[in-house]
Amino acid sequence: MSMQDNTQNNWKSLLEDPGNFPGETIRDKNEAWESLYQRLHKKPQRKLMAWYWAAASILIVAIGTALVFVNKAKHHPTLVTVPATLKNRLPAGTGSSLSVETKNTDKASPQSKQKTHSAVRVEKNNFTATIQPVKDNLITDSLINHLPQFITASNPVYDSANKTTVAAQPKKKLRVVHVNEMGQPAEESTVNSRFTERHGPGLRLINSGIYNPVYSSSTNNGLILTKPRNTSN
Amino acid sequence: MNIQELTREAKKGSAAAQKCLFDILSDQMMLVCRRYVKTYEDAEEILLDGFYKFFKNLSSFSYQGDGSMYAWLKKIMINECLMFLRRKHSFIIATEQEAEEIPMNDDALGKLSASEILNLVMELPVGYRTVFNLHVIEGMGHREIAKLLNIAEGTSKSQLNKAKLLLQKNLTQKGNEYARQHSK
Repeated sequence: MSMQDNTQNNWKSLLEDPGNFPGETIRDKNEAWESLYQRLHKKPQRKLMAWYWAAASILIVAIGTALVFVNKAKHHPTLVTVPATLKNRLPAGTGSSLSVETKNTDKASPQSKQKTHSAVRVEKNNFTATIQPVKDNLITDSLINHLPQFITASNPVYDSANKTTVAAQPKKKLRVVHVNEMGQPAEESTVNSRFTERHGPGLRLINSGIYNPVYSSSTNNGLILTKPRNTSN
Repeated sequence: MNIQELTREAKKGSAAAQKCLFDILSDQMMLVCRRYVKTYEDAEEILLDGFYKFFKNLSSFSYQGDGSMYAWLKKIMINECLMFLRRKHSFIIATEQEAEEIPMNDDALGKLSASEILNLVMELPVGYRTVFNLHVIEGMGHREIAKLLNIAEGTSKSQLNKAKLLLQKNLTQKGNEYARQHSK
C-alpha cells in the first residue's frame, strides 16, 4: 500500500466519523423526523386531486360537446315533405306557380322535426293547402325558404312513392328566321309617330307596340288606382 | 433492538422502528450530503429525500449485515446529491484530455484535521469536488465515476488531478498564513 493510499484512507476515516464534525450533523433531529414522517404517512392527496381534475375536464368537454350539438341542431334545416301529386289538389291553372310556407312545432332535433312537422301550407292566390309529411320525398326547410316565389318545372320529375311523373308543358319553340329573310324594315306608322310627338318618349316592345307611362291617382279611402293614359274609361 | 430487527419492523411499516433507524443513520448520512453540497439547508433537504426513498424501497432490500445497509443508504444519498446538483445546473464538466497523475503531498495532507480537510474540500469547485469525493472518499474507480456522471474517463482523471493541484495550492496558502500568524 503506497503512502498516497494511506493518506486517502486516513481522509476517508476522518470525514466519515460524525464525531469529528459536531456542527455538521442534523441540528434538530425530531423536527427533521416529523417532516419525514408526514411525507411517509400522509394520504395520497395528489392522486385524489388528479381524479378531481380528470372528472372536471371530462365534464367540461361533455358540456362543450352538448352546446355544439344544440347549436348545430338549431341551424340544421328542418326536413319537410311535399307530395309530388300536389298539382292534383290545386285548382286548375295554379300548378305552375306556388309559394310554400312552413311552420315548425318542435325544434329539438331533426328526427323529431320530421315526425312533428305537419304544417306545410301552400298558397296560390286565395287557395291554401296543408301538406302532410311523406316519408321518402324530402325537401328541407332551408331549401323551401330559398326557393323563388314562382317555380317552373323544366324537367319531368318522378315520384317513387306515388309512382307518378310530373312533367312541365314543353316550351313553344319559335321559328328561327334569318335576318336576311325579314325583308326591309317597315316604316313607322303615322299613328305611332304622332302619338310620340304628343305624349313624349315611351317604351316600345317588339311584339306589343308602345307602352306609355302610367299615371296614378289616390282616392278618398287611401287606395291607389292606376291606369294607362291612352286607355279609355 | 439491533439494526436487523429494526429493519424488519420498519419493513412492516412501524413508525417507531423507522424513527430509530433515522436516529442511528442520519448523522453519518448528513456528513455524506455535506461533502457534496455547500449549504446546510440543501444537505438537509437531500437527506430527507434520501431517507424517504430508503423507507419507501425498504421492502425490496434484503438485509445482509449492517455494512450492506449502510452502503445501500449511502449510495441512495450520493445519487440524491448528484441529482440535486444536476437539477441546480451547477454540475457541468467540460470534456478534457487526460492529464498526468499528480501525487499528493502526504506530509502536509496527513497532518490536517478533519474539519480542515472538509473546509478544503468544500472550497473546491463543484466539478472537482464531486470527482474528488467520489474517487478519494467513496473509493470509486474512474470508469465508475465516468459512467455515473456521464463524462469521459479521461475527464474524470483530469478533474481529479486539477482538484489535487488546487487543494495543494490552497493548503500552501493556508500554511503560509498559519506560519505568518505564528511568527507574529
